[in-house]
Amino acid sequence: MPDRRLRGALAALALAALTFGCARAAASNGPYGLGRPATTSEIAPLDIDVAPDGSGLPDGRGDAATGARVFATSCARCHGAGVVLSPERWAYATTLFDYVRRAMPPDRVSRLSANDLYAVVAFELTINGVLARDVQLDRKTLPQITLPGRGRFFTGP
Amino acid sequence: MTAVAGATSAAAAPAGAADASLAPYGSPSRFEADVVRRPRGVPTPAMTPLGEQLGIITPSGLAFVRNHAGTPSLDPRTHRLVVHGLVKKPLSFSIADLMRFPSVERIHFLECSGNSANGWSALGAGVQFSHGLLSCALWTGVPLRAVLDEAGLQPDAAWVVAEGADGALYDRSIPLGTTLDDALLVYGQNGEMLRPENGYPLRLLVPGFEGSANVKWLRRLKVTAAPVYSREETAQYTQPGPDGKIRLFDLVMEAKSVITYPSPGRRLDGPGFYELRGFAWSGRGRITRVDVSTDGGTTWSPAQLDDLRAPKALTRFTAPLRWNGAPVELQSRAADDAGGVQPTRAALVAARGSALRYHVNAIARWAIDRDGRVTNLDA
Repeated sequence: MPDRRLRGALAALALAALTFGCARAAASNGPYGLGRPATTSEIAPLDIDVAPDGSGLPDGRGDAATGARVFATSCARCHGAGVVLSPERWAYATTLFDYVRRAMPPDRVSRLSANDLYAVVAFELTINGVLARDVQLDRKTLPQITLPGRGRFFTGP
Repeated sequence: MTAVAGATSAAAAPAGAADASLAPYGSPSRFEADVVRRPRGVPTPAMTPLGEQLGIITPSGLAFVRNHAGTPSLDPRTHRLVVHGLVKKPLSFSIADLMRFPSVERIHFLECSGNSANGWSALGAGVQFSHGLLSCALWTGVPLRAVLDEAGLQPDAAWVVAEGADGALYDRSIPLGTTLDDALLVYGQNGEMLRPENGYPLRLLVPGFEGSANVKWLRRLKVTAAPVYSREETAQYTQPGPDGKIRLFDLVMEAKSVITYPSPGRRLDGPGFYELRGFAWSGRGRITRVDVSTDGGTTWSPAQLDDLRAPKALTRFTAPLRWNGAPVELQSRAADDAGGVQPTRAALVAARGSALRYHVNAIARWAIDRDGRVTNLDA
């Protein structure tokens, strides 16, 4: 009797484990047919990410001299003469382009053009001692810049 | 009922008179008006009044807030989430679409990686400032895996870049892999829709990850083979170690605990019995043990853990405190089921340097003096 009861309990336990296992496997038991296709033209204006290899950078170019003028018009109201960046805390110059494009200026109505973005990034890298004043930045030259902090960053344990 | 001197007429109002508590959406008693996020009048960060939090759930209106470009006002009827990148079928979801998915609810903490950093004590003495970049909620949402599976992951998918619809289009790279076991796209917080300042109408929740990785106002998920190395995961929310090296994607918040009662800024009401209370949590899993010391860490005894112990959630602990009026030093030390044990501040400084800015999970030290005043020995 105790044996049978034990067997019954074990069987119930095994069944419970199986059911639980199935329930977990079914956690993503799709597809559910929800959402609608996102078209290329819908994604393109949203997809503003710039990766360290330069993918995602737009056409256009700019230098520090132009950037100084853009900065005075669009950035100086909050940032004065220029932003002190601590370049040793930045891993990639592409990150600076990406950040300025996605976040600056904070009022969405006055986003900078691609040329203005390259120019402002050139201006910032120049006043922070990273870039020579006469360098034109574009989708080819920007990813080639090695910031002084690059070697400090690592991933993993 | 006799009006007490100094009480307003509202306090003595007879039942049936105009009753503010019957407002369509109620609010706390006016006698609790001091229990608010602080510092007041500063947009962010606004810290949770942890010293007054009675249970593991932080009321939504008290949950800490750290924004990077203000709180956007997003209409859930028009807001969409676009999923693209290394997926077989890029998709666009309305909030209504996402709410049709099989849903789950989970209790999880959120902790800003800057919680307990050096310097916050300048704002005030309380545990609200030393530990208040912490909250815990009952979240409702859809597993991230279900939404990504709907689009179909390509074989080289390894990361997902989550982007918000705030003024900074704030974005963070999240590693897939084990993250997919419990990451959620949440729309519910404590039984109602998210509060605007906490991500309405949709946010990412990666249980156990530093708060800033849980992107609010989510508008886009881009599946990638590598991180995007955004500003907020390289130049910000990282900290050079003693060797000057900077570890990226150090995202999990480790085992930690804090005694919320008694806690700094309070004064004990003379010798006698008190119940010592606090919270423990770990981004690695479930809290298995909390020890408390009343002699500055010389001897330890296990605290009582509440039955409600969800993984990657606040767990409440208690211990009897019979105070004889002599000065004591209180500490608590948490351990989790992944083997993590909360370190002393000295051990943390030895490992990571003295500029403790992020992921500061050191044991806190509260002193009670002869007058019953509680102070933070590390403030």
